[in-house]
Amino acid sequence: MDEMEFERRARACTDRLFRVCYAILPERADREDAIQEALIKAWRRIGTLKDETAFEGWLTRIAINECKSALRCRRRRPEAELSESIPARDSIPDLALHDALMGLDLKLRMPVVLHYVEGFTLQQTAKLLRLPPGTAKRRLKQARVLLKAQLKEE
Amino acid sequence: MKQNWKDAFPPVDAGFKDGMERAFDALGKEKEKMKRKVSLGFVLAAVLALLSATALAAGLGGVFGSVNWFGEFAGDEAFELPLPTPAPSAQANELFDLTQQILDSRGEKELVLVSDGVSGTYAPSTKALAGLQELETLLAGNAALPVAKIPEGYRFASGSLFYGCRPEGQFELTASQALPSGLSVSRYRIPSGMDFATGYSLTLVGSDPGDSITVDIGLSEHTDAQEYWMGVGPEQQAAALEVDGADNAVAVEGAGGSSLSLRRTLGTPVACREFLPGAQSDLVTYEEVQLHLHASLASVQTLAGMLEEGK
Repeated sequence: MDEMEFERRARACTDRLFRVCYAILPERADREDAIQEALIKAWRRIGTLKDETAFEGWLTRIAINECKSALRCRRRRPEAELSESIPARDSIPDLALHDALMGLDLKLRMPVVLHYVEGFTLQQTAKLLRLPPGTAKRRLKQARVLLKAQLKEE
Repeated sequence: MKQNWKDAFPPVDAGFKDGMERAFDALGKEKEKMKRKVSLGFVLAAVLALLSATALAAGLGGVFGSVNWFGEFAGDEAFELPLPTPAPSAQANELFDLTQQILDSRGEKELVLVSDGVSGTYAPSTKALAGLQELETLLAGNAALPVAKIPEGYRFASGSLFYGCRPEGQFELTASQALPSGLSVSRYRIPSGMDFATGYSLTLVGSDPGDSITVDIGLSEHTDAQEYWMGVGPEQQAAALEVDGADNAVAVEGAGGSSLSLRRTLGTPVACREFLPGAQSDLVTYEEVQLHLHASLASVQTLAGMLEEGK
C-alpha cells in the first residue's frame, strides 16, 4: 500500500478512530497526540499488514493500543495539566447515552463501542481487545445491564 | 434497548483532525527515517559488539529523538512535530492553580480526585520519604523493588513512595466536596492492610549547583521492547547495554545529562487494583519492574553503581 492509499483509507476511518479514541481518552489533547502517534506507527508498520482488506480493523487496533498507552502515561503523571478543552456537550446528540457510556468502566465500555457503535462482530471485537470471545460477550452483557439501568434512571 | 449508538459521541473535533493531518504530513519524512533506521541498525550492531567488551558508555552518533529498549532509533517526531499549545484562558489558569493546590495539600497516603464535571486530575496515594533509611525499612520484604544506593558526594533531598491497592481491596471514598469554583474534590484511601508499595521516586543532590540525580523505580505492565521509547537529546548518544539481571538496559549520555533505564521481568506477576477516575477501579497485572535514573552531571557509571548489589 503506498502513502496515498494509506492516507485515503485512514481518512475514511476518521469518525471511527475519533469515537474509539474518545471512548478511551477523555482529554482532547491526549486524543490528538494519540491519533498522530497511531497513524505514524501504522504507516511505519504497513509492511506487516498481510491482508489489506483488514486495514480498518488493523488501524483501529493500533489506535486502541496508542490510546491505552497514553492513558497509562496520564495515570502515572497525576499532576498533568487539567484539561483546557471541555467538550461542547450540546454537540452530543444523545447526552444521556453519552454520559451512561462514559460512566462505564473502560473494560466494559470498549466492547460496547466496538460492537454496538462501530459494528464489529463479537469475534472481531474480542480480537481487537485481545479478549477470549466469552469474556467479550460477558462484558457486553454486563455493560448492557448497567446502561439500561442508568438510562432508566434518567 | 434501541439506541442510535453513534449519537453518544460528539462530532470529530478540530484537534483530532489536526493530529491526523500532522501524522499525514509526517509520512513523507517517515520514509527518510526508515532509511536512516536501517543504516543506524547496522552501526548499532557494531556498537553492541563494542559494548560486550566495554560494558558501558558506547554511543550511537546522530540518534536524535527516541530509542527503544534495544537502544534502537525509534523516531524523532517528538522533536520534529512540536505540538501547538493553545493559550489557556485566565479561568483555566485559575482552575489549574486551584487544582494543583488541592492535590498538593492532600494527606499522607490519601488519593485525591479533582474534577470539573467533565474531566479530572488525581494524585495517587503516596508517602513522603524522610530518607533512604526509611525507604529501606518500608521496602523490607518487597523483593520486586530494589533500593538504590546513594553515590558518594550526593545526599537525599526528597522522595515519595507510591502505593497500590491489593485486588481484594477497594478504594474507600472518605470525603466529597463541591467547591464554589465548580470543581468537586473526592478523597479516597486504600483500606488498612490493602496497600502495598508499587514504586518510589527519589531526588538526590550533589555539592555543585545543579548537580542532581533522580530515581524513578516502579512496577509496570509489560511493554513491548520495540514500543517503549526513551528520549535522546540532540547532543546525546544512546546505547543498549548488557546488564546482568536486567532484560533490557539502555544508557543515554551527553549534553543534558545521563540516563540509565533498565527493566526486568518479575518472578511472580503482581495484581493491583488501579484507581480509575470517574469509574470503577480496574485490575492490572504488573509483570515487570522498570528503573529509570537520570543525572544532570554524574556519569552513567555512577548511576549503574547505585544499583549494584541491589535486590
